[in-house]
Amino acid sequence: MLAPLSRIISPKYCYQITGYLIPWLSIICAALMLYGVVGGLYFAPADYQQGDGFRIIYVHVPAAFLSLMIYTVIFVSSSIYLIWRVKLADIVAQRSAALGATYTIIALFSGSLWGKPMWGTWWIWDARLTSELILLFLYVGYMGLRSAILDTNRAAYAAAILAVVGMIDIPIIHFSVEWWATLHQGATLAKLAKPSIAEEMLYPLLAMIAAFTFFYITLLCIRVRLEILKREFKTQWVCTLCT
Amino acid sequence: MSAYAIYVWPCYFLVFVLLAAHVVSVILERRKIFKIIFRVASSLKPKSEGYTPSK
Amino acid sequence: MNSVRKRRLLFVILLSGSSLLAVFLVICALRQNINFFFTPSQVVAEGTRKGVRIRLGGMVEKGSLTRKEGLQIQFQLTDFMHQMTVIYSGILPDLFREGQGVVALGYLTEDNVFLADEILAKHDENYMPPELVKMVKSKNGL
Repeated sequence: MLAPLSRIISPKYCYQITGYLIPWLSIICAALMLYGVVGGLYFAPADYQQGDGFRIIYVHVPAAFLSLMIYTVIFVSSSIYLIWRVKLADIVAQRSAALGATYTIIALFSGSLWGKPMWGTWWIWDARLTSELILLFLYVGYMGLRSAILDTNRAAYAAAILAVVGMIDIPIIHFSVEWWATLHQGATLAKLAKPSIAEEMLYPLLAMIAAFTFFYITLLCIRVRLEILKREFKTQWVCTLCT
Repeated sequence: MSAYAIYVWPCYFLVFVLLAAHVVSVILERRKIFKIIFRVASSLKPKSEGYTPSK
Repeated sequence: MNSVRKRRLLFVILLSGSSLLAVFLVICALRQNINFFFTPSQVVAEGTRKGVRIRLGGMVEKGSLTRKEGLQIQFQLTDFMHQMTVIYSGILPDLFREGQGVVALGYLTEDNVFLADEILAKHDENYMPPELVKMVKSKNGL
Protein backbone atom coordinates (compact mmCIF):
# COMPACT_ATOMS: atom_id res chain seq x y z
CA MET A 1 0.00 0.00 0.00
CA LEU A 2 2.82 2.36 0.76
CA ALA A 3 4.77 1.35 -2.36
CA PRO A 4 3.50 4.22 -4.56
CA LEU A 5 4.35 6.63 -1.73
CA SER A 6 7.91 5.38 -1.52
CA ARG A 7 8.21 5.83 -5.28
CA ILE A 8 7.07 9.44 -5.02
CA ILE A 9 9.65 10.35 -2.42
CA SER A 10 12.49 8.68 -4.28
CA PRO A 11 15.12 11.17 -5.44
CA LYS A 12 14.91 10.14 -9.09
CA TYR A 13 11.14 10.58 -9.32
CA CYS A 14 11.26 13.88 -7.46
CA TYR A 15 13.94 15.08 -9.86
CA GLN A 16 11.75 14.29 -12.86
CA ILE A 17 8.59 15.82 -11.43
CA THR A 18 10.26 19.05 -10.35
CA GLY A 19 11.93 19.31 -13.74
CA TYR A 20 8.51 19.33 -15.33
CA LEU A 21 7.04 21.81 -12.86
CA ILE A 22 9.74 24.48 -12.79
CA PRO A 23 8.94 26.27 -16.08
CA TRP A 24 5.26 26.60 -15.15
CA LEU A 25 5.99 27.72 -11.61
CA SER A 26 8.37 30.41 -12.79
CA ILE A 27 5.88 31.78 -15.31
CA ILE A 28 3.16 31.97 -12.65
CA CYS A 29 5.58 33.60 -10.23
CA ALA A 30 6.71 36.22 -12.76
CA ALA A 31 3.11 37.08 -13.72
CA LEU A 32 2.01 37.44 -10.09
CA MET A 33 5.08 39.49 -9.23
CA LEU A 34 4.47 41.82 -12.17
CA TYR A 35 0.82 42.37 -11.26
CA GLY A 36 1.63 42.76 -7.57
CA VAL A 37 4.39 45.32 -8.05
CA VAL A 38 2.64 47.38 -10.71
CA GLY A 39 -0.70 47.15 -8.91
CA GLY A 40 0.84 48.00 -5.56
CA LEU A 41 2.93 50.91 -6.73
CA TYR A 42 0.65 52.36 -9.36
CA PHE A 43 -2.95 51.17 -9.46
CA ALA A 44 -3.73 50.95 -5.76
CA PRO A 45 -4.96 54.28 -4.39
CA ALA A 46 -2.99 56.06 -1.67
CA ASP A 47 -4.04 55.54 1.94
CA TYR A 48 -6.09 58.29 3.58
CA GLN A 49 -3.67 58.52 6.51
CA GLN A 50 -0.23 57.53 5.28
CA GLY A 51 -0.40 58.50 1.64
CA ASP A 52 2.04 56.59 -0.49
CA GLY A 53 4.03 55.33 2.48
CA PHE A 54 1.65 52.46 3.09
CA ARG A 55 2.84 50.82 -0.16
CA ILE A 56 5.55 49.19 1.90
CA ILE A 57 2.76 46.78 2.84
CA TYR A 58 3.17 45.08 -0.55
CA VAL A 59 6.66 44.02 0.46
CA HIS A 60 6.41 43.80 4.24
CA VAL A 61 3.32 41.62 4.66
CA PRO A 62 4.21 39.00 1.99
CA ALA A 63 7.75 38.71 3.38
CA ALA A 64 6.52 38.34 6.96
CA PHE A 65 3.86 35.82 5.99
CA LEU A 66 6.34 33.75 4.01
CA SER A 67 8.92 33.88 6.82
CA LEU A 68 6.39 32.11 9.02
CA MET A 69 5.15 29.73 6.37
CA ILE A 70 8.63 28.59 5.32
CA TYR A 71 9.62 27.89 8.91
CA THR A 72 6.46 25.81 9.26
CA VAL A 73 7.51 23.87 6.16
CA ILE A 74 10.94 23.33 7.72
CA PHE A 75 9.25 22.15 10.93
CA VAL A 76 7.00 19.67 9.13
CA SER A 77 9.84 18.36 6.94
CA SER A 78 12.14 18.02 9.95
CA SER A 79 9.48 16.10 11.85
CA ILE A 80 8.97 13.78 8.88
CA TYR A 81 12.71 13.29 8.72
CA LEU A 82 12.97 12.59 12.44
CA ILE A 83 10.11 10.09 12.41
CA TRP A 84 10.39 8.36 9.04
CA ARG A 85 13.97 9.19 8.07
CA VAL A 86 12.87 10.34 4.61
CA LYS A 87 15.93 11.89 2.96
CA LEU A 88 13.84 14.09 0.72
CA ALA A 89 12.24 15.70 3.76
CA ASP A 90 15.66 16.65 5.06
CA ILE A 91 16.62 18.08 1.66
CA VAL A 92 13.46 20.21 1.58
CA ALA A 93 14.15 21.53 5.07
CA GLN A 94 17.79 22.24 4.32
CA ARG A 95 17.13 24.09 1.08
CA SER A 96 14.24 26.18 2.44
CA ALA A 97 16.19 27.91 5.17
CA ALA A 98 18.12 30.44 3.09
CA LEU A 99 15.05 31.95 1.46
CA GLY A 100 13.18 31.86 4.77
CA ALA A 101 15.96 33.87 6.38
CA THR A 102 15.93 36.29 3.45
CA TYR A 103 12.21 36.90 3.79
CA THR A 104 12.63 37.47 7.52
CA ILE A 105 15.31 40.07 6.84
CA ILE A 106 13.05 41.76 4.29
CA ALA A 107 10.17 41.79 6.78
CA LEU A 108 12.30 43.29 9.55
CA PHE A 109 13.97 45.87 7.30
CA SER A 110 10.78 47.00 5.54
CA GLY A 111 8.97 47.03 8.86
CA SER A 112 11.63 49.27 10.34
CA LEU A 113 11.49 51.67 7.39
CA TRP A 114 7.71 51.71 7.77
CA GLY A 115 7.78 52.17 11.51
CA LYS A 116 9.78 55.37 11.45
CA PRO A 117 7.20 57.47 9.59
CA MET A 118 4.21 55.59 10.96
CA TRP A 119 5.00 55.16 14.66
CA GLY A 120 7.93 57.51 15.06
CA THR A 121 10.65 54.94 15.75
CA TRP A 122 12.86 52.55 13.78
CA TRP A 123 12.54 49.75 16.31
CA ILE A 124 10.90 48.80 19.60
CA TRP A 125 11.07 45.70 21.73
CA ASP A 126 7.41 44.75 21.63
CA ALA A 127 6.26 41.14 21.37
CA ARG A 128 5.75 41.03 17.61
CA LEU A 129 9.05 42.59 16.55
CA THR A 130 11.10 40.75 19.16
CA SER A 131 9.70 37.35 18.25
CA GLU A 132 10.28 37.99 14.53
CA LEU A 133 13.90 38.87 15.31
CA ILE A 134 14.18 35.61 17.26
CA LEU A 135 12.90 33.85 14.13
CA LEU A 136 15.82 35.33 12.19
CA PHE A 137 18.20 33.94 14.80
CA LEU A 138 16.50 30.55 14.46
CA TYR A 139 17.02 30.55 10.70
CA VAL A 140 20.64 31.63 10.96
CA GLY A 141 21.22 29.11 13.74
CA TYR A 142 19.67 26.39 11.63
CA MET A 143 21.90 27.14 8.64
CA GLY A 144 24.96 27.57 10.86
CA LEU A 145 24.33 24.28 12.63
CA ARG A 146 24.05 22.42 9.35
CA SER A 147 27.31 23.81 7.99
CA ALA A 148 29.16 23.35 11.28
CA ILE A 149 28.59 19.59 11.43
CA LEU A 150 30.45 17.80 8.67
CA ASP A 151 28.61 14.49 8.61
CA THR A 152 25.42 14.94 6.55
CA ASN A 153 23.26 12.64 8.65
CA ARG A 154 24.33 14.07 11.99
CA ALA A 155 23.92 17.61 10.70
CA ALA A 156 20.45 16.73 9.46
CA TYR A 157 19.50 15.26 12.81
CA ALA A 158 20.79 18.18 14.88
CA ALA A 159 19.19 20.74 12.59
CA ALA A 160 15.88 18.89 12.67
CA ILE A 161 15.90 19.01 16.47
CA LEU A 162 16.52 22.76 16.37
CA ALA A 163 13.68 23.23 13.87
CA VAL A 164 11.23 21.32 16.07
CA VAL A 165 12.21 23.17 19.25
CA GLY A 166 12.06 26.56 17.54
CA MET A 167 8.59 26.00 16.10
CA ILE A 168 7.02 27.46 19.22
CA ASP A 169 8.10 30.91 18.00
CA ILE A 170 5.68 30.80 15.07
CA PRO A 171 2.40 30.91 17.02
CA ILE A 172 3.99 33.47 19.32
CA ILE A 173 4.73 35.76 16.38
CA HIS A 174 1.29 35.26 14.90
CA PHE A 175 -0.76 35.74 18.06
CA SER A 176 1.51 38.29 19.76
CA VAL A 177 -0.70 41.17 18.64
CA GLU A 178 -3.75 39.46 20.14
CA TRP A 179 -2.32 38.14 23.38
CA TRP A 180 -0.39 41.19 24.48
CA ALA A 181 -0.44 44.95 24.14
CA THR A 182 1.91 45.74 21.28
CA LEU A 183 2.82 48.77 19.22
CA HIS A 184 2.43 46.64 16.08
CA GLN A 185 -1.15 46.64 14.91
CA GLY A 186 -3.43 43.65 14.63
CA ALA A 187 -3.95 41.50 11.55
CA THR A 188 -5.39 43.17 8.47
CA LEU A 189 -5.99 39.85 6.78
CA ALA A 190 -7.76 37.65 9.32
CA LYS A 191 -8.78 34.21 8.16
CA LEU A 192 -12.56 34.43 8.02
CA ALA A 193 -13.44 38.03 8.73
CA LYS A 194 -13.75 40.63 6.01
CA PRO A 195 -10.34 42.20 5.43
CA SER A 196 -9.97 45.68 6.85
CA ILE A 197 -8.39 46.96 3.67
CA ALA A 198 -10.03 48.42 0.57
CA GLU A 199 -10.44 46.06 -2.38
CA GLU A 200 -8.27 47.93 -4.86
CA MET A 201 -5.52 47.80 -2.28
CA LEU A 202 -6.17 44.16 -1.39
CA TYR A 203 -5.70 42.42 -4.73
CA PRO A 204 -2.11 43.48 -5.39
CA LEU A 205 -1.35 42.46 -1.80
CA LEU A 206 -2.74 38.97 -2.31
CA ALA A 207 -0.86 38.77 -5.61
CA MET A 208 2.43 39.69 -3.91
CA ILE A 209 1.88 37.09 -1.21
CA ALA A 210 1.23 34.49 -3.91
CA ALA A 211 4.22 35.75 -5.95
CA PHE A 212 6.60 35.40 -3.00
CA THR A 213 5.16 31.94 -2.35
CA PHE A 214 5.67 30.81 -5.93
CA PHE A 215 9.17 32.26 -5.91
CA TYR A 216 9.89 30.11 -2.88
CA ILE A 217 8.37 26.99 -4.42
CA THR A 218 10.19 27.49 -7.73
CA LEU A 219 13.55 28.07 -6.08
CA LEU A 220 12.92 25.18 -3.73
CA CYS A 221 12.29 22.84 -6.66
CA ILE A 222 15.48 23.96 -8.37
CA ARG A 223 17.53 23.71 -5.21
CA VAL A 224 16.09 20.33 -4.21
CA ARG A 225 17.05 19.01 -7.64
CA LEU A 226 20.59 20.33 -7.22
CA GLU A 227 20.84 18.76 -3.77
CA ILE A 228 19.59 15.45 -5.13
CA LEU A 229 22.24 15.59 -7.84
CA LYS A 230 24.86 16.44 -5.23
CA ARG A 231 23.92 13.54 -2.98
CA GLU A 232 23.30 10.97 -5.72
CA PHE A 233 26.00 11.89 -8.24
CA LYS A 234 27.57 8.46 -8.13
CA THR A 235 24.43 6.64 -9.21
CA GLN A 236 23.66 5.40 -12.70
CA TRP A 237 20.69 7.60 -13.49
CA VAL A 238 22.59 10.79 -12.70
CA CYS A 239 25.47 9.80 -14.96
CA THR A 240 23.10 9.06 -17.83
CA LEU A 241 21.70 12.59 -17.46
CA CYS A 242 24.87 14.11 -18.80
CA THR A 243 25.66 11.71 -21.59
CA MET B 1 1.89 62.88 2.40
CA SER B 2 4.46 62.08 -0.25
CA ALA B 3 7.20 62.52 2.32
CA TYR B 4 6.50 58.94 3.39
CA ALA B 5 7.09 57.70 -0.13
CA ILE B 6 10.82 58.03 0.30
CA TYR B 7 10.77 55.02 2.57
CA VAL B 8 9.04 52.85 -0.02
CA TRP B 9 11.78 52.66 -2.63
CA PRO B 10 14.55 51.17 -0.44
CA CYS B 11 12.19 48.33 0.50
CA TYR B 12 11.38 47.39 -3.08
CA PHE B 13 15.04 47.78 -3.98
CA LEU B 14 16.12 45.46 -1.19
CA VAL B 15 13.60 42.84 -2.26
CA PHE B 16 14.78 43.03 -5.84
CA VAL B 17 18.44 42.75 -4.86
CA LEU B 18 17.96 39.84 -2.46
CA LEU B 19 15.68 37.81 -4.73
CA ALA B 20 18.02 38.42 -7.66
CA ALA B 21 20.91 37.25 -5.47
CA HIS B 22 19.06 34.02 -4.85
CA VAL B 23 18.47 33.47 -8.55
CA VAL B 24 22.14 34.16 -9.31
CA SER B 25 23.34 31.80 -6.58
CA VAL B 26 21.11 29.06 -7.94
CA ILE B 27 22.49 29.52 -11.45
CA LEU B 28 26.08 29.46 -10.20
CA GLU B 29 25.49 26.36 -8.10
CA ARG B 30 23.84 24.60 -11.02
CA ARG B 31 26.85 25.28 -13.20
CA LYS B 32 29.22 24.01 -10.54
CA ILE B 33 27.31 20.78 -9.95
CA PHE B 34 26.91 19.93 -13.60
CA LYS B 35 30.63 20.48 -14.13
CA ILE B 36 31.35 17.95 -11.37
CA ILE B 37 28.83 15.45 -12.70
CA PHE B 38 30.24 15.74 -16.22
CA ARG B 39 33.69 14.99 -14.90
CA VAL B 40 32.46 12.00 -12.93
CA ALA B 41 30.35 10.70 -15.80
CA SER B 42 33.16 11.01 -18.36
CA SER B 43 35.65 9.32 -16.04
CA LEU B 44 33.27 6.39 -15.57
CA LYS B 45 32.55 6.02 -19.28
CA PRO B 46 35.59 3.96 -20.37
CA LYS B 47 34.79 1.47 -17.61
CA SER B 48 31.16 1.01 -18.74
CA GLU B 49 32.16 0.67 -22.38
CA GLY B 50 34.27 -2.35 -21.59
CA TYR B 51 31.54 -3.85 -19.45
CA THR B 52 29.82 -6.91 -20.84
CA PRO B 53 26.45 -7.56 -19.18
CA SER B 54 25.91 -11.11 -18.09
CA LYS B 55 22.82 -12.56 -19.74
CA MET C 1 3.32 2.27 12.21
CA ASN C 2 5.99 0.07 13.64
CA SER C 3 7.45 0.55 17.08
CA VAL C 4 10.65 2.31 15.97
CA ARG C 5 8.66 5.00 14.20
CA LYS C 6 6.22 5.21 17.07
CA ARG C 7 9.13 5.86 19.38
CA ARG C 8 10.48 8.57 17.09
CA LEU C 9 7.04 10.16 16.84
CA LEU C 10 6.85 10.20 20.62
CA PHE C 11 10.29 11.83 20.69
CA VAL C 12 9.18 14.62 18.36
CA ILE C 13 6.00 15.16 20.36
CA LEU C 14 7.92 15.29 23.62
CA LEU C 15 10.44 17.69 22.12
CA SER C 16 7.78 20.10 20.89
CA GLY C 17 5.85 19.70 24.11
CA SER C 18 8.80 20.49 26.34
CA SER C 19 9.80 23.55 24.31
CA LEU C 20 6.16 24.68 24.47
CA LEU C 21 6.15 24.19 28.23
CA ALA C 22 9.45 26.00 28.70
CA VAL C 23 8.34 28.99 26.65
CA PHE C 24 4.96 29.02 28.37
CA LEU C 25 6.60 29.20 31.79
CA VAL C 26 8.94 31.99 30.67
CA ILE C 27 6.00 33.95 29.29
CA CYS C 28 4.01 33.50 32.48
CA ALA C 29 6.93 34.79 34.49
CA LEU C 30 7.42 37.80 32.26
CA ARG C 31 3.74 38.40 31.63
CA GLN C 32 3.45 41.99 32.65
CA ASN C 33 6.76 42.94 31.06
CA ILE C 34 5.76 41.59 27.65
CA ASN C 35 2.97 44.10 27.38
CA PHE C 36 4.39 47.05 25.60
CA PHE C 37 2.24 49.51 27.49
CA PHE C 38 -0.28 49.92 30.32
CA THR C 39 -3.76 51.24 29.68
CA PRO C 40 -5.15 53.98 31.93
CA SER C 41 -7.49 51.43 33.54
CA GLN C 42 -4.54 49.21 34.43
CA VAL C 43 -2.67 52.14 35.94
CA VAL C 44 -5.72 53.04 38.03
CA ALA C 45 -6.35 49.43 39.06
CA GLU C 46 -2.78 48.54 39.97
CA GLY C 47 -1.98 51.88 41.56
CA THR C 48 1.34 52.42 39.78
CA ARG C 49 3.82 54.30 41.90
CA LYS C 50 4.52 57.89 41.04
CA GLY C 51 7.84 58.58 39.44
CA VAL C 52 8.26 55.11 37.90
CA ARG C 53 8.89 55.18 34.16
CA ILE C 54 6.17 53.33 32.30
CA ARG C 55 4.51 53.33 28.93
CA LEU C 56 0.93 54.44 28.76
CA GLY C 57 -1.19 53.49 25.75
CA GLY C 58 -4.65 54.51 24.62
CA MET C 59 -6.61 56.81 22.38
CA VAL C 60 -6.30 60.59 22.22
CA GLU C 61 -9.73 61.81 23.23
CA LYS C 62 -11.40 64.01 20.65
CA GLY C 63 -11.46 67.64 21.56
CA SER C 64 -9.01 67.27 24.41
CA LEU C 65 -5.86 68.42 22.62
CA THR C 66 -4.64 71.83 23.78
CA ARG C 67 -1.37 73.51 22.88
CA LYS C 68 0.52 75.35 25.55
CA GLU C 69 3.58 77.59 25.29
CA GLY C 70 6.32 76.47 22.94
CA LEU C 71 6.10 72.82 21.87
CA GLN C 72 4.14 71.73 24.90
CA ILE C 73 0.79 70.02 24.43
CA GLN C 74 -1.77 68.50 26.75
CA PHE C 75 -4.42 65.91 25.97
CA GLN C 76 -6.62 63.27 27.54
CA LEU C 77 -5.59 59.66 26.98
CA THR C 78 -8.52 57.27 27.23
CA ASP C 79 -9.25 53.57 26.91
CA PHE C 80 -12.98 54.32 27.02
CA MET C 81 -13.15 53.29 30.66
CA HIS C 82 -10.67 55.59 32.34
CA GLN C 83 -8.78 58.59 31.16
CA MET C 84 -5.58 60.32 32.06
CA THR C 85 -4.11 63.73 31.44
CA VAL C 86 -0.86 63.64 29.48
CA ILE C 87 1.54 66.54 29.13
CA TYR C 88 4.26 66.35 26.49
CA SER C 89 6.81 68.70 25.12
CA GLY C 90 8.60 67.85 21.90
CA ILE C 91 8.19 66.68 18.34
CA LEU C 92 5.14 64.58 17.56
CA PRO C 93 4.97 61.73 15.04
CA ASP C 94 3.15 62.65 11.84
CA LEU C 95 0.26 60.30 12.50
CA PHE C 96 -0.53 61.90 15.86
CA ARG C 97 -4.07 63.28 15.93
CA GLU C 98 -7.20 63.31 18.02
CA GLY C 99 -9.05 60.00 17.83
CA GLN C 100 -5.79 58.17 17.10
CA GLY C 101 -4.02 55.59 19.22
CA VAL C 102 -0.77 56.59 20.96
CA VAL C 103 1.80 55.15 23.32
CA ALA C 104 3.41 57.63 25.71
CA LEU C 105 6.63 56.93 27.57
CA GLY C 106 7.09 58.79 30.82
CA TYR C 107 6.02 58.80 34.44
CA LEU C 108 3.11 59.67 36.64
CA THR C 109 3.49 62.84 38.71
CA GLU C 110 2.11 63.57 42.18
CA ASP C 111 -1.10 65.18 40.94
CA ASN C 112 -1.96 62.17 38.73
CA VAL C 113 -0.78 63.83 35.56
CA PHE C 114 1.34 61.77 33.16
CA LEU C 115 4.48 63.56 32.08
CA ALA C 116 5.62 62.05 28.79
CA ASP C 117 9.02 62.46 27.20
CA GLU C 118 8.33 60.29 24.15
CA ILE C 119 5.16 59.79 22.10
CA LEU C 120 4.67 57.02 19.54
CA ALA C 121 1.66 56.83 17.25
CA LYS C 122 -0.17 53.53 17.08
CA HIS C 123 -1.66 52.68 13.75
CA ASP C 124 -4.74 50.50 13.36
CA GLU C 125 -5.04 47.75 10.78
CA ASN C 126 -7.31 49.63 8.36
CA TYR C 127 -6.15 50.84 4.99
CA MET C 128 -8.49 52.90 2.85
CA PRO C 129 -8.33 55.42 0.02
CA PRO C 130 -9.61 58.92 0.93
CA GLU C 131 -12.87 58.59 -1.04
CA LEU C 132 -13.81 55.50 0.94
CA VAL C 133 -13.15 57.33 4.19
CA LYS C 134 -15.56 60.09 3.17
CA MET C 135 -18.17 57.47 2.27
CA VAL C 136 -17.77 55.67 5.58
CA LYS C 137 -17.92 58.93 7.52
CA SER C 138 -21.06 60.14 5.73
CA LYS C 139 -22.70 56.75 6.30
CA ASN C 140 -22.06 57.03 10.03
CA GLY C 141 -23.47 60.54 9.96
CA LEU C 142 -20.24 62.15 11.19
